[in-house]
Parts: sequence; C-alpha cells; structure tokens
Amino acid sequence: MTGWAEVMAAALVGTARGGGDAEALLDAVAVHALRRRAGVALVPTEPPPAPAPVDATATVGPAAAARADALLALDQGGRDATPVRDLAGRLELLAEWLTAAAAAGRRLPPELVPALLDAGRRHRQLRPLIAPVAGPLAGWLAGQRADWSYASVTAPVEPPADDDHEVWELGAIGRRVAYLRRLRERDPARARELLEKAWGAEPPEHRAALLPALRTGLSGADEPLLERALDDRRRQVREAALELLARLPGSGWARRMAARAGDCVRPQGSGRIGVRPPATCDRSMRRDGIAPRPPAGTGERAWWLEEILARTPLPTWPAPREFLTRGMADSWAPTVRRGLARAAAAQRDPAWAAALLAPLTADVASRGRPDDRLLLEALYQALPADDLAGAATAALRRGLGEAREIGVEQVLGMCPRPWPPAVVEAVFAALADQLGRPGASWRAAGLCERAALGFPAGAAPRVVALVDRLRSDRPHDRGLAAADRLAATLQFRHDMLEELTCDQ
Amino acid sequence: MLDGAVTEVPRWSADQVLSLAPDAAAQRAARALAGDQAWSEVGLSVEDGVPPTAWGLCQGTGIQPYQTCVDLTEPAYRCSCPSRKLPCKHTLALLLRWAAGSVPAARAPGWVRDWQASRVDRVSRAAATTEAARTGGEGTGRAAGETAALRRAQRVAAGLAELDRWLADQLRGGLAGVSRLGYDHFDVMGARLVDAQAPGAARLVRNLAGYAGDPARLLAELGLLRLLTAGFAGLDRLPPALAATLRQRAGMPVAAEEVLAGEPVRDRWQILGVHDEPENDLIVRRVWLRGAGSGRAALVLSFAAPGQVFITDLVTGTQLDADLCFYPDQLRVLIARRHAPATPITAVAAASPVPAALREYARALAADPWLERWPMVLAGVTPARTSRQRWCLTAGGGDGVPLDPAAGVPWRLVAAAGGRPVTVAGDWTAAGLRPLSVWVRDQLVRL
Repeated sequence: MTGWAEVMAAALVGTARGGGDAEALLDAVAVHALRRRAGVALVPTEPPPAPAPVDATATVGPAAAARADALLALDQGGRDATPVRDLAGRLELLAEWLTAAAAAGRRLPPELVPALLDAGRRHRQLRPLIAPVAGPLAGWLAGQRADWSYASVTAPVEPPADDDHEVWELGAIGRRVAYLRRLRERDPARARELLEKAWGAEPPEHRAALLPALRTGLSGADEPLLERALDDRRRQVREAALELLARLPGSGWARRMAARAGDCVRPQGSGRIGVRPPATCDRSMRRDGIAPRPPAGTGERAWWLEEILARTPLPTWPAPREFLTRGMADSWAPTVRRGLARAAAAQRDPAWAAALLAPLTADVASRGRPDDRLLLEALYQALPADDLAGAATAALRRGLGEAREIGVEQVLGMCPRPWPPAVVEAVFAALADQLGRPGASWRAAGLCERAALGFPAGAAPRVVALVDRLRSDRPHDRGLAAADRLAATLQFRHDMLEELTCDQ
Repeated sequence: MLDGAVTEVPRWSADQVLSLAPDAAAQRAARALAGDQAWSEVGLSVEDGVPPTAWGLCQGTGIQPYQTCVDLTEPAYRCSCPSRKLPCKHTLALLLRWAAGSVPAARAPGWVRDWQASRVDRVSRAAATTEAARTGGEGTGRAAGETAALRRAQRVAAGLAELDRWLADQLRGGLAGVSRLGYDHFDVMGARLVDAQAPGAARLVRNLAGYAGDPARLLAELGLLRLLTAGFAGLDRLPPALAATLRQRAGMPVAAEEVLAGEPVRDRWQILGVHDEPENDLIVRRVWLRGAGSGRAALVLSFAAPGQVFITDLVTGTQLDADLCFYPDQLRVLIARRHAPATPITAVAAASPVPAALREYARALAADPWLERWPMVLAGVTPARTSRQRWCLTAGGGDGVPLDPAAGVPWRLVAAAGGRPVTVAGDWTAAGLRPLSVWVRDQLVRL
C-alpha cells in the first residue's frame, strides 16, 4: 500500500472481495488521510481582474454602515432589521438612506456594494441611486457578474444616431420608426410627407408601428393622415390614430364629439340641465372610438353617453362648479359625472378634477363599478401636488371618518414626500385625536402606516413623545400597535439621517 | 480614594448601547428614561480586583426606586425591576447616560458590591450547566464521584471499541456500497455512541452521511475515526496532552471548573470572526481569537436554542485584554477574567503569508489530528476565480488557497478587496476557507 490512490481503490472494492486485511487498510487510510489534510493542496487560479479604480471619497461611518447593512437585507424581513414590515416600505427606507448618503457626499462601504447591486437587480427604481453612493466600484463589480451588468459604465446607452435616408427606404421596421421619430424632432412636415407617401404601400403592422411616431411634434397638419387612419382595416392603426387625435385640441374629431355631447347634454333656460342619451351607436360614433358594448351591469344608452362625454373637450362646458351645481335628472346624473371625470383624468384638467372629486366619491360610496376606484385615483393624479395636499388636509380636518370615505390613505400616498407642513399638521392632529380614544384607534392604523414614511424624519421627537404618553396611559392596549410602529419607524429614520450627517 | 489612578473605561456610543435592546419599544423607553428626572443616584465604580461597574437608582411606578447595575466589561447587568425583557429599559437607560458622559465616578454602595461578589460564583456555574446540557452528561465535575468517572470511561472505551469494529466492517464491504446506504446507516452507529456517552465520536459518525457522494472525503474521515479508536485503546501510552485532547474529541466532558483551574493566558485577544451554525437542535456560535502578543489561536464556543439570542460582547474587529483558560485541545477557551473592556483592533497581529499560514495549520493538525476548524489569517491575498470557476485567495503565482464553496460566492470580500491584496481571516476546514473578516480602511470588517 504505497499511495492514496491504491488505498482508495482497495477501500472502494472492500477487503472481502479485493483481499487484504481491513484493519491494516484502516491504518493506512488514517496515515494518508492525515498527511493529505496537513499538506493543503493549492488550486490553480485564473488571473485576478485588474484592481478597481481608486476611490478617494470617504465612506459613511460605522453606525450608518451597520444600518445600511440591515436595510439591504430586503428580503429577510428580520424582526430586528427595520421597523417596517412590508417590502415596499423597506425599499423606501433604503432609497431614503441612499439619497441622504449621496447628499452628504459619502460612499457605501465597499463590502456592501454587492448587496446593493443585487437589490438594484430586482428593484429597478433603486438603480439611479446606486452610482452616487457606490462610486466606481459598482462598475468594476458589474464587469464580474452578468446579473449586475446594468450598473456597468460601458453599458449600451442609445445606439448611435442613424440619420441615413437609406434606413427609411431599406431598414428594418424598428430602425425606420426611430428614423421617423428623429426626423419629426427636426422637421415634422417632412416626416409626415414621407409617411403619407409610403402609407398605402406599407403592410398593416408597419402602419401600426409607424403612426405613433407622429406623437413627436403633433399638430393640426397631421389631421388628414389621422382621419385616413381612422378608416384603416387594422384595429391597432385605428387605435393609434384615436390616441393622437385625442391629443389634438380643436380637431374635427373633437368637434364631432362636442357636437354629439351637445345633443345629449343641454343646459336649459330653467337653469337645469337636460340629459338625453343617444338612441343608437351609429357607424360614425364607432369610427370615432365609441365602444358599442357596455360593460356588464351598465345600460347601453348610459354607456354611450359616458363614452361621448369622456372624449369631449372639457372647455365645451361652462365652468365646472357652475355646471355641477345645476339640477339634472337623477337617473342620468351619475353617468354624466363619470363621463366628465374620465374626461378630466384623460385631459389632466385640475379644475374639473377638483370639482368632481367630492360628488364622484359619494357616487362610488353608494354604488359603483369595480373600476371606479381606479377612476377616483386617476382624478387625484390630475390634481397638482398642492391641491392634493389641500384635499387631504381639508378632509382630515373634517374628521377621519369622512377622510376615509375619500380614501385619504390613497391621497396621502400620492402626496410628494416628505409631506408639506400643512399635511403633517392635519395628520398629526387626526392621529392625536384618534389614538387618544381607546378602541377607535384601529381607524388610525392606515394613517399611521402612511405617516411612518410620509412625515419628515424631523417630526420623530414629537410623534415619539405622543406615542410614549399614550403608551404610559394604556400599556397593554393592542390598538396602539400601529402607533408603536409609526414611532419606531420615525425614530429609525431620524437616527438614520442623523448618523449620516453627524458621524465622521 | 478616587484619584488619578482610576482606569479610564472607554465609553460606548449610544448605538452600541441600543444594539443590546431586545426590541424597538425598549430602545424608545430607554431613551425616554435616560434623562435626569428618573435617576436619584448614579455612579461608576472602578476599583482594583472588581470590574468597572455603573450603577444607579431609578424611580419607577413603585415606592422603592429600582436598583440597576451593569458590569461594563461583559456587559452583565442586574435590575430589581420586574420586567421580563432583558436587558430592561432601566439598564439601557443607565448605559445611555454613561455613553453620554453623565455618570460620575463614585464609590459603589453595598448592594452593588454584593452583586459583584455573587457574580464570580455564578459565571462558572452557568458555564458548567451549558456544557453539561451539550454533552448530555449527567452530574459532571466535582459533583460526580470518581467511581462515576471511571464507569463512564469504561462505557466510552466499549463504545469506541465497537466503533473500531464498525470501521473495519465498512472497509470489508467496500465504500462503493457504503455510499449508497443513506443516513440511517450512520445514525444507528451514532446513536450507539451516544448511548456509550461518547457524543463527540457520535457527531463525527453522523457527519459521515454528508460525505456519501464524496468517497475520498468519506474515506479520510473513516481514517481519522480510526485514529480516534486506536488512540483511545492505547490511551495510557500517549503523551498526557494528546491523551487529554483525544478524550475531549471523543466527547468526554471537561468541567468548566477544571478548565478555569488551569494556567490562565493573558494577552490582548483579537476577535477575528464569529460564525453561527446549526448543530442538532442548537445554534453553535464560534468566536475565533488570536493573541496580539503570542499569535496563539483560541476558540470561544457558545450555544443557544433557536430563537434564543446570544448575549455576547465578543465583536469582530475588537480586542480584549483578558485571561483565557484553555481546554485540553489547546484551542477552546473560557474567559477567566477581563482586564478591560474591548477596544478596536489597530493591526491584525497573527497574519502570515500563505506558506507560513499553511505550515502553522499543519503543526496544529499534528498536535490534534481531529482538528476540524482552524482560524487562518492570510496576509497579502487577493480573491480570484479558480480555473474551475470557484473562488480562492491568491498571492500570485497562478495558485491559491481554496475557499469553501458552501460559503457561497465571496462577493463581500471581492468588493472589499477591490482586486488588491488584503489580509483575510477565516475558518479553515477540509472543504476550504470560509472568510469571516477582512482588514480594510484600517479596521477589521466582518464579512
């Protein structure tokens, strides 16, 4: 028995078949095993990559680094890591940390950069925040793992501009669309002429791909081509044309809609508004994009009315407050409001959106289709940030009960962060009021959750003091759990920003 | 009394204090309590022979104020409040006050002295209990008479003799068959060794099941078990140190009192890495130390049930001026006495180039052939891919020390090193090195 190979071969076969003494073999194994273990075998390597670029920017201090480490463990909702339980909230905390570190001009410690690149791989919204805190190391690491290539400095940006006219004549459809779009930026009329000339000869799928390029530099001069496209055999082409026409104020399409709407909804001398929905959905209506079939549970005529109103330019009507306060047949009023709301959301008209919010909320509360919540949300999105904050503040001042009715959590969710002072005050007052009453505090839970990330971190001492006071009165009240989490999250954010700006 | 001779205890940061808190609510409660109103009397006593201790009286809801004190070296604490959260908010608040510099030096009152005295006993008793729980031994140490010890030695000898026959049987039948047998085959033998009160050997046998797909590793482990059985049979003829190591590896209990009675070794012990691993129903925490003066390796083992928290201030990157007492294997230790609280490491003492580090390991293996893990500290190495797309640490020259693939791709280490040579400390096993910390930015960073 001279070498490991022989020992190994004998042991695999076994002494019963291969002959020899098992005890002696065991002793030989022992000697060889120990010898092999003591003589560590080095392994052949590939040449290591060139060193990472030197980065002279200082890293954050140890406390901030430890917190970043905990924040980066996004998917291990560890009980101690962060006070926020859901992934979206933890992502927001991480984004806040990254933004603050970048503002302080400090780097994430290198050993944490891989975890950040992993987080950015799964959560795109983090990607723009990576480079400022990771520095050149991010690009160096990206070169070593395909998953991280999005952070690579040499990542393909835009293909080089391709302005050769030959591309239009002979190129693949993707390149032709890009060519047309670039030409629209420089010379919209020339681009339109090219498209008009080629239009009849293009196969339908190319027409559908090329037409949206007109969105760049869209003007009334494009209308004839768009009208032509409305008669196209291919549905995608017609839809693309409708979308562009809706963006064109004063178009024939808009005038046709306004005329239809005027036939149906007519202010009368008495001050009331007469409503007479269309009796049929004719060919020209269908051509202009009115969907002939109503969703389940909605009558045909009501649906056609709503469809017309949704596409009618809002300036067709008198001022929103005035229009909405006038009397109207009860059976049609919700349909009219919904149609107008869709128009306000699509045309991003803040005045109409603000005026429609309250009545539409009441409609939604009493009866509603499943997509009404989305419509309400779309209305809020049409409001400027200040109005949003104002709506939330006003609703909260009137009481949390009503505020919930308008979906105040959703509105607050859309307010820019950190919330403006007026919103903070209103939410704080509502919380102090609600949390102060035992048993009613479940109503405040959703508000607590929003406030944890919406309040500026500077509000921490005030909120913590409030929650501590409530806790000392009601040490075992489980209704205060959400408030505890709010205080913990704010304290966490407060400490997080403090340690980023203070420690060396 | 309290003159310039008082030892300066380096203060903690508020975050260090708050990291001890069991939950966020306790953190907030502690912050609220750290103000002046609640505390009627606070002080920090530093005297010869007694660890530096902060203490205070905190007015709670009751009539009597709560008595709170903290031994700053461990930290260990006691509070007379009824809270079941440990440490309680009073303890944390007292530490926060200390961190903020608002605890003046003062002579400890009687109740603090009583606590300090009672603690010395308790520490050694607690260690013995944990140890007994792990080895499954009944009355260990002095409680058990000599006859009991003798009886146990006989049972272990019988168990290992049976293991020896079992080992030979494996080689008679051939390993090609053994690797198909699955866990049960090894568990049966393991269970018999547990019955024979040789839990150390039992664990080694049970681990064999994990090497069923790797005949070379399986065979090597069988060979090392043979060293154990053969050695135990001839225990009287072995040098005393090796015999004691062998008994420990077989799983015969070593009482904490016995260990603490040994010669203490004082050094500035650098904490190079902490690694938690599940083992049976427990989490095993290994804390690797190296002496700054001696370079000597040491291992602090602790155990916790799942969900239970390890309370320890042995933090990677710090060093501790302390007396350690070694187990017979000359690796595992108990901390006998701390001379000062931990401070950050300023330079890794025991780092050596690859060849020297490997020679050192070989020497350690010669003294203890059953050594499963060893704290290796490599200087001047760069992480690189091996030609088989695994990872290693290279000092150039086209080869390197393999990293344990089970530890995953060492991205943290790769990023920390940035392609430049660094000093890496890790846990060396037969499968390769598991990196635990790296020296960058003038500090030892946990990986």
